[in-house]
Amino acid sequence: MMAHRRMRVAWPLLVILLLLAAACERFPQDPERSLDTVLETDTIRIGLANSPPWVIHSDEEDPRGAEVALLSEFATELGVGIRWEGGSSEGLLEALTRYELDIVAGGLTDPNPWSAHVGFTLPYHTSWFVVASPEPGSGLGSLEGRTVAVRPGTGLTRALERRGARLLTAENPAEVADLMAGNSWEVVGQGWYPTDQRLQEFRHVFAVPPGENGLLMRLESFLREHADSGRVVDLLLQADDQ
Amino acid sequence: MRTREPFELPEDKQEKLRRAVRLEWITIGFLISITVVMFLTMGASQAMKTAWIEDVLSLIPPIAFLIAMRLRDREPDERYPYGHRRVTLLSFLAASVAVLVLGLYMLWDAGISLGSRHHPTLGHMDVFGYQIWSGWVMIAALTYSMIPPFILGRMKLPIAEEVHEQTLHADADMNKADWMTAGSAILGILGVGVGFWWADSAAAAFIALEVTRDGVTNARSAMRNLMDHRPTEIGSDKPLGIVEKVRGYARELPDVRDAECRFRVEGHVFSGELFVVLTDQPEVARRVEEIRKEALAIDWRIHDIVVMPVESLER
Repeated sequence: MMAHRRMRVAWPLLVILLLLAAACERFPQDPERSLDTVLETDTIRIGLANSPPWVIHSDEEDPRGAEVALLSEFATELGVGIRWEGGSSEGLLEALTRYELDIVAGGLTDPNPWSAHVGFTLPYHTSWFVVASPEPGSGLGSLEGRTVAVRPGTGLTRALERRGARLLTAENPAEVADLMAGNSWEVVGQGWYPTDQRLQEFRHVFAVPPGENGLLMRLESFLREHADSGRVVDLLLQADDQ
Repeated sequence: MRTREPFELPEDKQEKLRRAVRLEWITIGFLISITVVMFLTMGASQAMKTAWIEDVLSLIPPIAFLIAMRLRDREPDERYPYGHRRVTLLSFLAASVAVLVLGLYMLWDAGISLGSRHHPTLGHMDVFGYQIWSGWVMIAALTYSMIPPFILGRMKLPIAEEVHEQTLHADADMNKADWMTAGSAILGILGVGVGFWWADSAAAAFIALEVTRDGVTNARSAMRNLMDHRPTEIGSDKPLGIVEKVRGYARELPDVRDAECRFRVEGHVFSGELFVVLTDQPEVARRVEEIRKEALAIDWRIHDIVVMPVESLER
């Protein structure tokens, strides 16, 4: 009997919610109206944490980088201006939780300890630390005993040594050995080809305020259309060059 | 030691029980599939997480039932002279307490979520190459989770009443009420979509309340049974009238001056004592055995009656 009473409450609730959903011009909505505010004020507030070549932000120049380029395009598509704000990723993500910013970019990757506190887009691009060779289609099988050149300061040395590789550090790895290790887009820029030896995977994301699902979906749709792999690699190489 | 005679279920009841066992296996199969589907689609929804835990918990009653079905037909032996009819109740009580505690934990969790104003983030989900709002995927999973338990619950309920099986009844009841859990979660997710960030946590709290209530109800009924409660109808508190029937039968007998009895529930069967004041007669023992046999036949659920000739029924 109790169950029937609840059924009488449940059905109308369901109908009301479905009607509300149909009435929304956008579904899902932003509980804190982020996207609407952006469109009304003609400004999108974007936080940038320096992380070349994804985000290059300094006091001396205009922001640039692959992610900056993508977000600029997004703002153009929305028809709004941008207010860039620099800072550390921690500080910027903190500001997101207070709904003081609309998007944060900075070479952020998933999984991320902040995922309980802010919203993250689906990964729009996946990159790897790879071992590359000048020949396409190299299935090395293992790195045991092979010489691999790396640029200094990449933090790849432990991973490579664990796989039995002999390391050679050089500013221009492509010139000193038959195999080099670096980011997947870097090696493509050198004209080399990634081998089957992938050392680490990175899934790149942007951050949005928690629960702002309308804004999130809009950004994700944009990224799906305009941030295909080839385009992102191009943007990264452009940013690297400058 | 004189152990009890083993209990024999009437043939038609045995058939029903076998059907119940089959249904419980099917229930377990569906519940596992539901658990997997929900786990894959749960995402950031608190309500879905709570509903998932509830679905995992609903695996306990059927498993306990199937195990008990194997154990309780063991004949009474030296160590268990009264038989094993109560084994179902033990697992049932343990399961109910576990459910209760988990329900309380989930309630607390949902409370924290609401208190900290947690806004669930639900973006796109990648489904076989297509990107759709994760809320729709969750709602689809929840809709699936509603249907098999509801149907199975409705099929098991009448059987539980016919074989007087309380644990089966509680399990079937929980299955039937599953639509409320899934329904609440769906309302929660739709609420978030419409912009009510609190809808998800509120739904989670509601589900947790239901789960706790279930735990309390089942724990109480298991406790009553384990404490030798008088026989009641399945799923309610109404006494069955077994005492009246047996007493009535005995008092009708020509050579019985007065009679009184008491009964208790033991798992799914009853047992009790019948006190008779007999007229003076030479073969009391034989008469008492006759009375016992006839009293046992009054209701198929009566497992054992000890007939005790007494001088008077005054205390």
